Amino acid sequence: MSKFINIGDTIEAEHANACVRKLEWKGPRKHPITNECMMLYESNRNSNVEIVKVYAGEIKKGTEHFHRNMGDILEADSISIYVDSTRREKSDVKEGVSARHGAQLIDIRKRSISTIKYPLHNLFKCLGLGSSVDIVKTIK
Amino acid sequence: MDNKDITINIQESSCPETTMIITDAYQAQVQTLSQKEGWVLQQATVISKDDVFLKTISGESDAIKLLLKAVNNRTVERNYFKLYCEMLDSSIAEEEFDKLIELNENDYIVSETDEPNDNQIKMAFRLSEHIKGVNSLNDFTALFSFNAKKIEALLEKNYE
Repeated sequence: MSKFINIGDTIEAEHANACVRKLEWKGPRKHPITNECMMLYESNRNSNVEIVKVYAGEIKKGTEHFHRNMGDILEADSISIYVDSTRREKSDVKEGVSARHGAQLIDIRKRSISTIKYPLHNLFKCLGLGSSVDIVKTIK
Repeated sequence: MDNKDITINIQESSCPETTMIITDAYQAQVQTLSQKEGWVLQQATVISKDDVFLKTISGESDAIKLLLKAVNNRTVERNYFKLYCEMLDSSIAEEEFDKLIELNENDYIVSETDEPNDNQIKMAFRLSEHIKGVNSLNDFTALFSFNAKKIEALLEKNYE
């Protein structure tokens, strides 16, 4: 039972519980490592995903570094959750989870892979990219 | 034409590896074709590496290809959500929904298999600043069909 907070940390679970401020359904995507077609959800605020039932199936090539122990938790702002399902998961809204805000609680009862992703605005900064500015000089 | 009345604009080019020069600004002349209304002859000298400039103005540039890819991927996403709505309102059966997705995956699921080079990734980042709905790395890779591992490799290289 461990808590993971670094970018790139990934957990794989048979069943997982997610508590997020806001969850966006992105539709079906191919998982970047396993290449399976899965349903993608993204959270962007104060999120955590916990393994409540351990995945005991085949460990695919490239997924050896995934964490799969009971109670393992991912905690971050930006988490991508891939669910092995063709239907949208339902969530419950619970008020007062933190001192100020409520949250969406999702009980994922299908196999899922959750990863802490790079926030996109950090990528811009990392690559030294900002707003593009066209320079026009007028000579008279 | 009185040179004092001539206004010359020099624009730094956003096209890679191209510099646009207007030769001898004080003697430049603007000729106007009076035969056709609205037609103006514009003269410029361009120094470009290989055919970069010509490819840019003819639409063969990386930017055009990336934008076309983005438009097509948005259509693919829209197709999926339209089909999902049809299933929810019972226009089609669930089995038919699953079968259509399975048989026509390319029409309903975006592939993220392209391995762009560093310049293409940077160009895509610049384009994505002006495209709606790109709020996360997943949005970005799905828009341009980029393999996420390639983006992460670029990040690791820049962090070194």
